[in-house]
Amino acid sequence: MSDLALRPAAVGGLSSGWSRFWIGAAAVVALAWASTAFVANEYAFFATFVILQFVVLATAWNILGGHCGYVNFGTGAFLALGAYVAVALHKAFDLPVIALVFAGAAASALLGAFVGLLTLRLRGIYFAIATLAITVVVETAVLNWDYVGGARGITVIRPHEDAVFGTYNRMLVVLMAAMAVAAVAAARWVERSAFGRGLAAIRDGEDAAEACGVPTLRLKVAAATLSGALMGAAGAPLPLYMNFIDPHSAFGMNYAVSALAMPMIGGTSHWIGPVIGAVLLGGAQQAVTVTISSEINVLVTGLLLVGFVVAAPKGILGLLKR
Amino acid sequence: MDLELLLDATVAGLLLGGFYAALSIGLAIAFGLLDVPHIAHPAFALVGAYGAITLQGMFGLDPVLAGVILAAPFYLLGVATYRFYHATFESRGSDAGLRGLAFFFGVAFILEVGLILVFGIDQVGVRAPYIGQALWLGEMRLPMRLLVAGGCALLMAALLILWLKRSFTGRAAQAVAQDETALALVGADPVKVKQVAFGVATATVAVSGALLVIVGPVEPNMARIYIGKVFAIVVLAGLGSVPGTVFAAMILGVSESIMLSGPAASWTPAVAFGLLLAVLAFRPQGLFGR
Amino acid sequence: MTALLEATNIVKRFGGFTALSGVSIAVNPGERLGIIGPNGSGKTTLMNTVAGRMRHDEGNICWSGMDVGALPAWRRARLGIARTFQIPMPFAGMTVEENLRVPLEQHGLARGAAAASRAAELLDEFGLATRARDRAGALSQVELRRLELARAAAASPRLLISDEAMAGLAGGEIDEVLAMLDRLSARGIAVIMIEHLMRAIMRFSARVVCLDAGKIIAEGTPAEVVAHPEVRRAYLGA
Repeated sequence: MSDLALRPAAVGGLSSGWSRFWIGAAAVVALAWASTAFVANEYAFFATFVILQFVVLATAWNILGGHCGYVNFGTGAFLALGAYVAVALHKAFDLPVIALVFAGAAASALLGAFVGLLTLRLRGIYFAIATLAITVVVETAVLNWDYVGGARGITVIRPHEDAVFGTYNRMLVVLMAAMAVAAVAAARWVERSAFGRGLAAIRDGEDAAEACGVPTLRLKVAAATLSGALMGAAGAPLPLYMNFIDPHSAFGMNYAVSALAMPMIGGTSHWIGPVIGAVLLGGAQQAVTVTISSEINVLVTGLLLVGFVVAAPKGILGLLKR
Repeated sequence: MDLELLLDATVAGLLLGGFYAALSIGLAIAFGLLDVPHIAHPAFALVGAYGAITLQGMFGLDPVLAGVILAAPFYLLGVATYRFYHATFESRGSDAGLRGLAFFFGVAFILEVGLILVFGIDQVGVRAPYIGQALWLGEMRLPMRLLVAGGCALLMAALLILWLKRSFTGRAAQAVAQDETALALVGADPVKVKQVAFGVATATVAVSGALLVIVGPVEPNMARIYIGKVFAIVVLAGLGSVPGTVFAAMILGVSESIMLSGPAASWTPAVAFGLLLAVLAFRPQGLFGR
Repeated sequence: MTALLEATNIVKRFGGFTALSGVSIAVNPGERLGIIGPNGSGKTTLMNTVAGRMRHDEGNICWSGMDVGALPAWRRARLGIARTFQIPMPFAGMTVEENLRVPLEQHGLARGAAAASRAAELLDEFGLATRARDRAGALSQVELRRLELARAAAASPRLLISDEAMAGLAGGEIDEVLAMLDRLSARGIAVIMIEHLMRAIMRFSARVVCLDAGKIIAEGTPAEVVAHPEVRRAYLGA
């Protein structure tokens, strides 16, 4: 079975394609690190945190969505599960942030595998409906979970300062930058690997893929697991950054719609598409929410999604190619 | 659980099921027969509900009457929606499935936010002489509003079944689900048939929206809760079977009602999902599937 | 010699309609079997059950003596069954070269650079070398047919099911496809050819089976089957 490591160091790390990528990736993380020393505006960090989080979510979504053809409407559930698992562990033990991220990733990976095993052998729409329904189920479970505050939510206690980056929040921004790099690396690896070609074959013609020896259910479940893991990882730092979590904000529909809209707007055919979508739409969302209202923000997201799906199916990447 | 409680829950569940049936019949046609991934179905119903609220606000109309009046514009909305969907997605390339799903999801979302902007996020209800009243059957209290909703639902289902079995377009709609080419050979235009059928399905959504607000006050984010329920019902029924949909709706209604009166009541929202998963895992063609 | 493929008493129903009512066929290693029959007689359905795209309702499917009826299509593919589709199903979002890499990689035949060079060989053999880097979705009908065959051949199968690979092609193109199938057969690959083109069936097949309404109505050499009264009736009259 294909290697699913998030850091595919084993895959021809010295070939020119990858060395260019890692140089760029290192630059991104270095930039994030440097900014913690030089940038003073706290809101800038918040906006960056949110946008980087969306880079992870959009990239994760696209692995199963644009690349394999299966739509996930429940990004919120995967994100929130990662967040709540992190909160629970944080409350119970004194763990480093990285451990919480891995725990969140593991929980949502399992969720992806679970939903996948149950519904990916059927037509795409059933998987999509199942992801909608799973959001309700996970939210119901969390509402009944008093340890993490249930419906009222819970305050998350964590240090304010950080030795290396100044504030704890800035440390989280650098962590998120590293996660964004990891997610994009994973997507890039998927694109270039036999595993990824198998996924694309499933998208383009599942019966033909089977006839070529592609173990369709296994690959689909693997993709759902990987996608879930990345979403759960992205969720874990969220309650730490905000000092607080409650079901209403964690399970907000904005995550589900945005994670879907960003790749559709940016372009689903290449890993850079979701990144473009996340940066542009994420940035626009921050601007609109701050200046107008969060409802209008969500409306604009929905309108852009429908607009692109109808008029520019290949997204911004497609428009640029013309 | 003692027997009396169980009986109460079952009766309440049947009434609830009647209402669920009204909500799901349209999807049985739109998705079950026509294969349109109409994620926005509950959102349309919610628009119907708010429409009934508005009509009552402006003209003092009874909600059921409002629903019936709205059926005509909703029919046209359905026709337009299908034509757009067909032109943009059905007749195009291989990733149409992905984009079609994304499209309806986006539409559902836009409708939800639109409703928030126009009506606000608080719950809004309607008034009617039968809301708040109840019928007493021995010791059992049967809320009138659920009886009205259930009664209208059954009437609507009966009319729909008649239409599907007796009218040319109705039978053609069932045929088009099986074999489009055969239908074209008979001289009917498959696209026009589907258009009409989708229009009819959307018209029923107007009425079921009105029933929705009769059963209880509505708020814009309710559509999401109902998506899992209506799809669970339609899948459990077996795609395209209207009588099956009524039966499946009853099953869900009773299951939820029993769950609600038991010790694990706070898990009730998960019942629909559990049912959906069970059906997909063990009998994906549903109870009465074609 | 054990038959390579042996399907016995295959029954397949779709709701109330019985598409196959007890069909049995066998193919020996390296054999050339032709399957003919009017539209709707069940030819493709039979191949779908054999290849695993559909589950048969009754009957046995044996591959080299082993019962494969419970195996999913991809496992049967990996055992050595390759097929083309009546309406070509290319991986439209990928390049032509990538289309060929999929079976090479999935069957464990080649990876990385080895896969690239093997794909190039196949592209040459099937006349698609100039289209290697083009999106498969942009190919012409003829090129799509060739890609279907190339993709099936890439898997180094022991049995190739060619489902109406020549439908809608013109004279010279038909001969081209026949030549490709000849070459594959010469390598020892058993071929099942489903066709309506009688001259192709006559030239290519060693044995022919004729289906009608889900049953086999004639079996034998091409000459025997074509002259069979039942076959004439099925195609021409009643």
